[in-house]
Order: sequence, then C-alpha cells, then structure tokens
Amino acid sequence: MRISNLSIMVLAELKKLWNNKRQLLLLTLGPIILCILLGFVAYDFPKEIDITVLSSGGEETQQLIGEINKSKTFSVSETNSLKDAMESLDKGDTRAVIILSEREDSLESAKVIIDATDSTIRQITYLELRSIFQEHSRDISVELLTDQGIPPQQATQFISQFDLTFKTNAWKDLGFFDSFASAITVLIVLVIPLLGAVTAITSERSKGTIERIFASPFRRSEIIVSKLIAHSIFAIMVVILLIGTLKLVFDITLGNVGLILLITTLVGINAVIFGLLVSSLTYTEMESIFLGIAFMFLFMVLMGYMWPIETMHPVLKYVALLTPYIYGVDAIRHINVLGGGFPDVWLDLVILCGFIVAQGIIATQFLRRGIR
Amino acid sequence: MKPSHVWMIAQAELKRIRNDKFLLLLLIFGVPILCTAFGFVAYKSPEEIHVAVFTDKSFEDGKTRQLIDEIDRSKSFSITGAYPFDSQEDVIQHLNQGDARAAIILNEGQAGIESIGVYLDARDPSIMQVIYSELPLVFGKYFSDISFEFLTSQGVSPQQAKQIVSPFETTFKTNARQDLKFFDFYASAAMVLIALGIPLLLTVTAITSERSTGTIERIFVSPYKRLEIIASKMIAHSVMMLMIAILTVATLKLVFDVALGNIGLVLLIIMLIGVNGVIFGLLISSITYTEAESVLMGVICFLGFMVLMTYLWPWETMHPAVEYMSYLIPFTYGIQAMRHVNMIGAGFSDVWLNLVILAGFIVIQALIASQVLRRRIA
Repeated sequence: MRISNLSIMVLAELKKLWNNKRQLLLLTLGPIILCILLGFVAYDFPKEIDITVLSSGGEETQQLIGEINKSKTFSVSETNSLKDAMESLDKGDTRAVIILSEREDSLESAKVIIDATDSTIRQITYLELRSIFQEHSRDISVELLTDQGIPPQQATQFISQFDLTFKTNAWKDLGFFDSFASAITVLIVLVIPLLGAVTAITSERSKGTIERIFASPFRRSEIIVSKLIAHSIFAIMVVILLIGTLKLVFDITLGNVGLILLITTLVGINAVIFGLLVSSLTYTEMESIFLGIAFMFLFMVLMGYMWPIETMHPVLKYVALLTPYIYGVDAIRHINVLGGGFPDVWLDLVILCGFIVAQGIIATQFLRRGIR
Repeated sequence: MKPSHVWMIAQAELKRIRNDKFLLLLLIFGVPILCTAFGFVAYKSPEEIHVAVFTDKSFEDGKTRQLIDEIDRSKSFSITGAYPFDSQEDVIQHLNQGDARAAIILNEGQAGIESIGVYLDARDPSIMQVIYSELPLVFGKYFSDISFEFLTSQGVSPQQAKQIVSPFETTFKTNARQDLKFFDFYASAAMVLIALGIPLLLTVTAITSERSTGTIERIFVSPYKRLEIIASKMIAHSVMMLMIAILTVATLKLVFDVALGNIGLVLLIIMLIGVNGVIFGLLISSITYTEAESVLMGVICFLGFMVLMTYLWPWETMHPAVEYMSYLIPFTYGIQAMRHVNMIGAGFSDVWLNLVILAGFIVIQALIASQVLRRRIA
C-alpha cells in the first residue's frame, strides 16, 4: 500500500464530500438537531401520568388519594363509574384505573388496572403506585398496633424492622436523560456513518467511475483505506458535534472526554468500514441501502441499547458479542456513568480496533473488480 | 393526472425492482431475519440478573440464609461471585467491574438483619427498573413473614397479625385482552419501526438515482406530470410495502406467536405507515440532488421519527413543546393504533381516527412532494 496513492485518493474523496455543500450542511446540522430532539424527548422522569380513581369516598381512601395526588408522578381524576373509567383507559385518555374498596370505613383492597400499551409507563406506574401503597399500608399497620397499646416507636420498629435503601454506583447524580445519552451517542455514531458509507462504492458503480478507478494502478486495499479515511474524518466531525451538543445543551454527565472521543471515533470507524464492506458486496445503491438498513436494525437491537443482554435468547447473547457496538456501548456507559478510566475499558478499545482491522481485510477481499 | 400514465411509470418502476434479483432476495429474507432478531433479543423478561451479596458472617443466622436463598430462588436473580464476599469493598468492586448488576449488603445485628443496602449498576436503566421492581417483592415477603411470626409470638392472633401486616390487598393488572408475553409489549412497535424504516430509506433515492443516472431528463421531457411521477413511484413502492407488511406480520406470528388483534386492521395500519414512509422518502428524494444527501437526510429523519413517535419514550417524559411536535408526525398515530389493536383488542371503531389521520398525511405529503419536485437538474 503506497502512501502517495492513498493520499491522492483520500484527497479526491474528501473533495467530493466537501464540494457537496448541502450534504455538508446536513452532516453538520443533522447530528445537532437529532441530539436536541433526543434530549427534549427523554427530557425528564415521567410526570403527571393521568390516572383515574374510583372510590366510595371514605376517609381512609381520601387519605390515600391525597397521597397519590401529592406524588409528582401522577395527575389524579376521580370518577364514580367503572364503565367510564375503563372506557377512558382503553381509549388512552388515562394510563391507569385504581379501584379502591372499603369495608367498615377502612380500606379493604386496591385494584390497579394499568394501560398495557406503553411498557415504560406501565413499569413506572407499577413501581410508583406500589411504593405509595406500601407506605400507606405501613402507616395503617402502625396505627393498628398503637390501637393495641403498643407505643408508636415500637410499633414502627415492628413494622419496619430494617431499613431498605437503594443507591446506584454512578459517580455523579444522574438526570433522566443521562441514563440514555451514552447509548444514544453510540447509536447516532453508528447509524449516520454506516448509512453514509454504504453507497460509497456502489455510487461509483452506478456513475461508471469505478471502471476508471479499477483501470488505475490503485490497489483494492488502497481504495478501501482511502474511502475509510475520508469517511472517518466526517465520522469524527459527527462525533465532536454530538458530544458538544449534548454537553452544551443538556449538560449531560461525561467522564474522561478524551476517552469518550476515542471510543465514539472507533465506533464511527467501525460503522464506516462496515458500510464500505456492504458497499463492496452489493451492486446497486438500492441493494446497498437495504442491506445497510437491515444491518443497522440488527446492530441497534443487538448492542444492548434497547434491551439488555438478560432479555436475549441464549444464542443471541453470543451473536451480540460478535458485533463491535456492544463493546462501544459498554465502554461509554462505563466512562460516563461510572466515571471509569482507561484501565476499565482498555479491552473494549482493543476489541473495537480488532473489529476495524478484521472488517478492513474482509472488505478488501470482497471488493469485486467485476462490473455488471 | 391520467391513470394510464401513472400505470405506465409504476409498471416500469416495478420491473426495475423485480429485475434486481439480489434486492428481491434481500427483501424476502431480510425482513424475516430482522423480525426474528427482534423477537430473540426482546425474548423474555430479564432473568438470572447477577447480584452479589455481602453479609457479616459472624451474625449470619438461619433467617439471613433464608433470605439469600429466596433471592437466588427467584427467577429474576442469580447470586454471583464468591459469596459471601470478604468485605463491602469487594462486593462493590465486583459490581463496578460489571460482574454483577446489583450488590446487596445485609447488615446484621444480634437480632437479625438491621438494614439492607442495595447498590445498583447505573449503566443499564432497564435492568435497574427490573431490580427496583422485583427485589422489594422478595424483601417484602421475607419481612412480612418475620413481622407475622413476631406478632404471633407476642400473643396476637394469626388473623389479626395478618391484618396488621397486610392491612389491605393490592393487585396490579393490565387492560390487555389476553396474557401478554414480554415480546408482545414490543412487537407492535417493532412492526411500525420496520414498516417505517425500510420503505422510507429505500425510496429516498428513488428520484435522486434517476438524476444521477440521467434518466430523470427523459422523464421530464416526457408528457408525464409531476404528480403522475410521484403517484406512480408511490404505487410501485407501496406494492413492495405490502410484501414487507405480510412478511413482517407472518414472521412475528409464526415464529413468536405474538399477540395480534384484527389481522386486516394490522395489515391496513402497516400499509398506511409504509405508504407514509414511501411518500416521505419521495419527498426527501425530490428536494435533494445526490444519493448521499438523500440517504443522510433519510437517516436523520428516520431517527427523528423514531424518537418522536413514542416508541422509545412516552409523551410523559417529553418536553411540552416536543410533545406537540410528536402529534405532527403520522407515525405517532400509527404506533398508537397498532398497540391498541394488538394489545387491547381494539377494533375499527376505536382506531378509525388514527387511520383517517394516516391517510390524510399521505395526501398532504404527496401534494407537497409533487410541488417541490424540481424540474431543474443539478
């Protein structure tokens, strides 16, 4: 591989990308707009979830409703008709229906029917309501014990025999968006460079310019490496824009910035080289784009972003480990969320580099000289 | 708009797609493979989540051991590492290394457990939620048993003790029309995502590729109107969309037996989402000049739609201004309709408005696309 050949091709490729001002504008503004949109969508812990309460209006139930109302998570409306409440739930106007039954002025049961259509809301509603009910149940238990002549302090001791505290191992207090920002960075750095590079060779085919490249003294490896370098420069630009926007607009929690840039750059280069691999395997742009989309979806579901490894079929767990992006997500979460350093993520970095080399060699081998 | 013109261009477009055998092969195998991957990734509710336990051995009594066994017996958790750890630092280090998803520290006194500290791995929000939801259930049961035992030992009758420990009964259910499996909660959204992503990104180059191959000049000098060009391309890609819809639903049903509502309605919703994706792709294609621009813009819009359509995050987490924005895209109505049909068993009368809105978006976007289709060639 000659450096002079490589620099000529890299320059030509960069010029091609640079001369398309509209594409450049899209590359610059696209990641910024996407980041802002993501930040404002995953903006805050779910608040004011609409729930409907059905009760007979006794003192104890009113007290419980007051406690639910006090929670920032819910916005409560009351009704007397179960039919109306269920209709409203099925229509999506309310996220849960709570039916409180009383017997002899005391709460007998609390039945909660949650909207099944949104899994995030279902989980949050369940967790928050359960916690409110437990708190209320504890208060009643203490009251019952004090009625039996047990001092309140001792009664509390009987009912809450041990403290239960939940903490995380995060190095800083995390906001709602912080929990998702790391994985989102990897997702955008995967998708934009991958689909940007996926037509890099097939567009040369469709325009007929690939024949000229093949007739030139450039080697297959030089063609791949030069396209890799040119597209990687743009991937790095996307990375910087992403991190910059997320930090400046949402003040996300970031660990070692140098390491984050390194990881996201490696993820971006992996995406570019995979895009080139797809491009060298296919003949038309449509084929390239379709294959690119299919792999984008596959990587997206396998990289542990939407679903963790614990939900996967045992075989798929191993398949997930064969994609580079799972290591990218793992490393970046380690740094941003746990404040990890190089000793914690060096193996992930080595694996990401290994994938780049392996994919580069495969792409070079697959780049077909034959033209349809 | 002459139907004969539309039909002629649509036929030519369909022939072009059919003649690309590799693309057809990719479509036929790609969609089922994608659906299968989705299903096997969101396969089951998290099981055997590794948790590490530290307890002070000097006080360990039968009850503590019982609690640890109960955690281990639970389907959701699996106790990992060299239990019992030598120190709290060891167990936290185990957690930080990623070998466990939670570290449970049981502080014991002479009378038994005094406090329980649970440290969660902050890296994965979904696992954190499962631990938050499942672990207190295990502790709660253990705690109730102890309180009950304690109260009865103090002379309180078992019935009264039960009443004190659990003064009222709580039950949680969903309004789903049938028992839903873990994947069922995500299958509807996966269908929408595939129905949006593939047609949108495949059509973004439909017009720009005509530009780059020079064939657009031939179309422009022909007597065809802009609207005819857009409509014919929309019809041709919609045929492909129908194939994708059938493949998606059939794979998910046959391989994972996902909860499906009225199949006709499901196919109709997927079709409307797909056609919206197709027409939006054509709109992008008509305002861009090169394939690279089209693909880039398509990807950015696709990611934008993905986050806005309430697939990943619900309206309740959104900034109020962005919440209104999500109502301005068709796919929000698509995903809501699909979830209602599949999960709650809603029928046409429940989702007709969503269908009308989806159809309305198609008409509006087609009109805009035909207006912006520039006759100038870059």
